[in-house]
Amino acid sequence: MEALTVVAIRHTLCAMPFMRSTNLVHICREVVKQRRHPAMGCLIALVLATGCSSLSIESAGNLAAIGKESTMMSAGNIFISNSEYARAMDAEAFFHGYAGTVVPQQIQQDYQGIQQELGARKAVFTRLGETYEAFHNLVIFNTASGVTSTINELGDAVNSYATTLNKTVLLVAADKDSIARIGGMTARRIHTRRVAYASRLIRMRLEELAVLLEDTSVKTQLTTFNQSLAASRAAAVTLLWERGLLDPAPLITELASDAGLKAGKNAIKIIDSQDGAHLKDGLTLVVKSRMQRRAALIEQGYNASTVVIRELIAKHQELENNEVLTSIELRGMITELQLITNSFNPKTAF
Amino acid sequence: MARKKIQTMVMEGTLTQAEALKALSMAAQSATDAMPYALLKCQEHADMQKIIADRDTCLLAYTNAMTRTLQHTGPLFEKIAKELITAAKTVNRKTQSLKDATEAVELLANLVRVAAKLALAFV
Repeated sequence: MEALTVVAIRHTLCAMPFMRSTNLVHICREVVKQRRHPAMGCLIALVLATGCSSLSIESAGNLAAIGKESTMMSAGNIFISNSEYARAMDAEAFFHGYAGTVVPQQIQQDYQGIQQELGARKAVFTRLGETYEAFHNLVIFNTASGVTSTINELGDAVNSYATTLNKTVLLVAADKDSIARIGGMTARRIHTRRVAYASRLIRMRLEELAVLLEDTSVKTQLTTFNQSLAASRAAAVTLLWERGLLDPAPLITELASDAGLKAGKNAIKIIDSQDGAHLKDGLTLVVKSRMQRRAALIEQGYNASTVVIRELIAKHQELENNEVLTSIELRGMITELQLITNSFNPKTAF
Repeated sequence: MARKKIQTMVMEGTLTQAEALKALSMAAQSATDAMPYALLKCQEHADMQKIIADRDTCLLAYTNAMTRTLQHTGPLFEKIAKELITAAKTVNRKTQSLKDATEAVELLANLVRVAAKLALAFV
C-alpha cells in the first residue's frame, strides 16, 4: 500500500511541472502525518529527491541537434519545391503566350493554392527549427527564458497551416514562461523537469502537424500535382528545343564529362541534320526524365519530412520515458531526408 | 429480338476514385506532352488556341477531380475510364507522326471529350 502511494506521488509530481519544493515538503509532511510512519516519510523524501531526474540530458541534447538538422533540411526542400512550382508557372505562361492566349484563371488558382500550402508548410518548419534551437539552449545551457513563447509560435504556425488546408486545429498556447517558472528541490531536478516539459509541449505540436501532413486528400493533391508540373516544364523546353532556341552542347558534355569527353564542335549541326532525329529524341527524353525526377523528389521530400516528424514524436516520447537516445541512432532516421536534400543539390551530393 | 442493355449514371459499380483519377491524370499528362508537337504544326493563333484550350480542359478535369469525391462508380463510368486511358495512349502514339495543322488541331479532340465525361462522375 505504501509502495503504491509512493509511486502515485512520484507520477503525480512528474506530471506537475509547476510544483515547487515547498509544496513537495508539504506533501511529505502530510503523508507522514496521516500514515504516522517515519520510515515512510524518509522513503518519500528519497523518491522526491530523485523524482524524474533519470531523464538523460545528453539524450535530450542529441534529440535537439537532430531535430534542428532535420527540420532545416525539410525547410530547404520546401524552398526548392517552391522554385520548381514557380518555374512550372513560367512554363505555362510561355506556351500560352506562344499561342496568343493567357493562362486560365483556374490553372493559376491551382498553382497559387499549391504555393500557399508550400509557404505555410515552410513557415511551420522554420518555426520548428527555431524551437529546436531554443530546446537545445535549454538542454545545454538551461536557458529557459523565451522557450515557451518559441514553442507557442510553432503552435501558431501549425494552426495557420491547418487554416491554409481548410482544416481545424485547436493547439492552445502554453502559459507564458511556464517552462522558466518550473521549480524543484535541486538545480538538476529543475533542469530535467524543464526539459521534460518542453519536450512534451513540442511533441504535442508535432502530433498535430503529423496529422495534417498525413491527410490523404492533402497528400494526394500535392504529390500527384507534381506530374503535371514536370509535364508543363518539359512541354516548354520541348517547344524551345524544337524551335532551335536551345544549345544541347552542355547536356551532351554532361553526359560524357565523367569520361573526360565534351560535346564536339559539330554536335549541333549533326543533331539538326536529317540523320540526327534519333539523337534529338534521345536528348529530349533525357530532359524529360530529369524534370520528372525533380518533380518526384518533391513528393519524396514531402514523404520523408512526414516520416521524420513521426520519428521525432516517437523519440520525444522515449526521452520523456527516460530512455537513452544515441546520436548514431537518431542520425539513422534522417538518412533518407539527407539523400533527397543532396539530390536536390547535386553539388553537395556524396 | 434481343434488347440492348442501357447503362445509366445511377448504377453502382466498381470504379474507384484512384482508378478514375489515374485515367484523368494520364489524359492530362498525354495532352501536355503532345501540346508542343501539335503547336509546332500550326501557323494560325486560332489553331494553337484550340490545342491549348483542349489541353487546359484535360488538366482542369484532373485537378478539379482531385478536390472532389467520386460519386458515380457504375459500369458507364467504368467504361469511360477505360476509354480515356485508350484515348491517352492513342494521343501518345499519334503525337510524333502529325502531318499538318488539321491533324494537330484534332489530336486532343477525342481525349478532351472523354475526359470531360469522366469528370462528371465526380461531385
